[in-house]
Amino acid sequence: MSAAWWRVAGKDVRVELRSRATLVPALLTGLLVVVVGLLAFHDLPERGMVAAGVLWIGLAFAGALGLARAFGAERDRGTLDVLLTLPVERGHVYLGKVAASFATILLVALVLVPVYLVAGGEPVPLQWPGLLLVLTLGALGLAATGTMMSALASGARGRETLLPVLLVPVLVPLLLASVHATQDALAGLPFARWRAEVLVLVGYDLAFLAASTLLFEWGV
Amino acid sequence: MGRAGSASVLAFEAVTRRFGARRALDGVTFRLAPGTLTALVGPNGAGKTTLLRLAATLDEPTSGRVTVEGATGAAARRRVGWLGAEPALYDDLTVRENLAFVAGFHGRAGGVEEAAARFGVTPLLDARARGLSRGERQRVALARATLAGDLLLLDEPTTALDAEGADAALRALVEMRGERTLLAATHDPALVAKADRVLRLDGGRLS
Repeated sequence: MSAAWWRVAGKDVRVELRSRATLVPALLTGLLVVVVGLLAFHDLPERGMVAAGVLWIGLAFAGALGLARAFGAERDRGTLDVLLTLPVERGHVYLGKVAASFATILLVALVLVPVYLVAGGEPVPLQWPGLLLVLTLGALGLAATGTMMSALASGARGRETLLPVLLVPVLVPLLLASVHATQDALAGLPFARWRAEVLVLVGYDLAFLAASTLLFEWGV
Repeated sequence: MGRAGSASVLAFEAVTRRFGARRALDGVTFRLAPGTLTALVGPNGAGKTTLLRLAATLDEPTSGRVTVEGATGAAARRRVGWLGAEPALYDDLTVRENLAFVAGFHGRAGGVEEAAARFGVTPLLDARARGLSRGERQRVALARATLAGDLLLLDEPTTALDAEGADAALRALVEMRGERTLLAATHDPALVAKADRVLRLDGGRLS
């Protein structure tokens, strides 16, 4: 059943498009962080250096809001049992959830970056395809990690508090590589200068996706 | 996780499930013959829901073995239709979408209309689940369970239904006997009366 993850993702996207329970708060949170960051660092000569950090703080906060719901909402309405009795390996359910969370986080990123560029009066970076690659890899890593942690936390009391505690330490390498690569892409540096960070992101994403797909059965 | 012979539809072999020091199930052994309706009865806390969850692969036994047509894991889930204690619908999807979501995984997408008709929810097919009454939600959840595997595991299937709705649901379930195997945890005397077999649980043991 190779399309199983696609069906789970499609269901989540359809639910989200109708409820907007995740996308709207995630967008507003991300925008708030970016706008406050722009105002706070407006007069700083090295504003370009902190921009990547502000962007990724916004994305991490926005992503965490949605990721908390990835399994929490399923458990609250009782539909987690419906998902877990689907006739597929449970790793497919995990991958479907990752795909839906990834779509949300990437969409937020694709709004935040132009807002940052326009509101900050910045030119479109020459390395915009590279920037898009970094955003995609970073969003995928956030989704892969956050979805697994959401599954682990969903059955616990105080899961909203537990999720960041589980998530933040694991995200450190992802966020460091994303921030550095975004800085270099925004500065228009050649790809060779930040290829190492991109490789870290690829490795992180592959490792987390593979391990979580295998371990999800015991995590949820 | 595969099959190892299929002498019966559902087999529990010396199954014990502990939650801490408490034994929710204690050495339970039974087999379900295909095409039968079995009522699972017992007082609250007897272990009925635990037994159903183990059969549905939603939980694992502390010891013993549970197989569905000789299979475990995903292979077992292909044969299972599940109705939990709550109807558990996606409120932002229509009834049709809720049914089609599960049916699609079991290759039964073409059976949505028939399942809806069987439980009297055809007029609700294009309504969002959010607006349904508790009884309507229960009937949709019953229809959804029948769109999954051939072993129907039902936790209080007639609960929340009015007398007429409970009668209709029971008739529909009884009609399915033969082509499906049904195991229903219930306190409903009407369902128990229609059952081919009654399994009585008390304190986690079959009596």
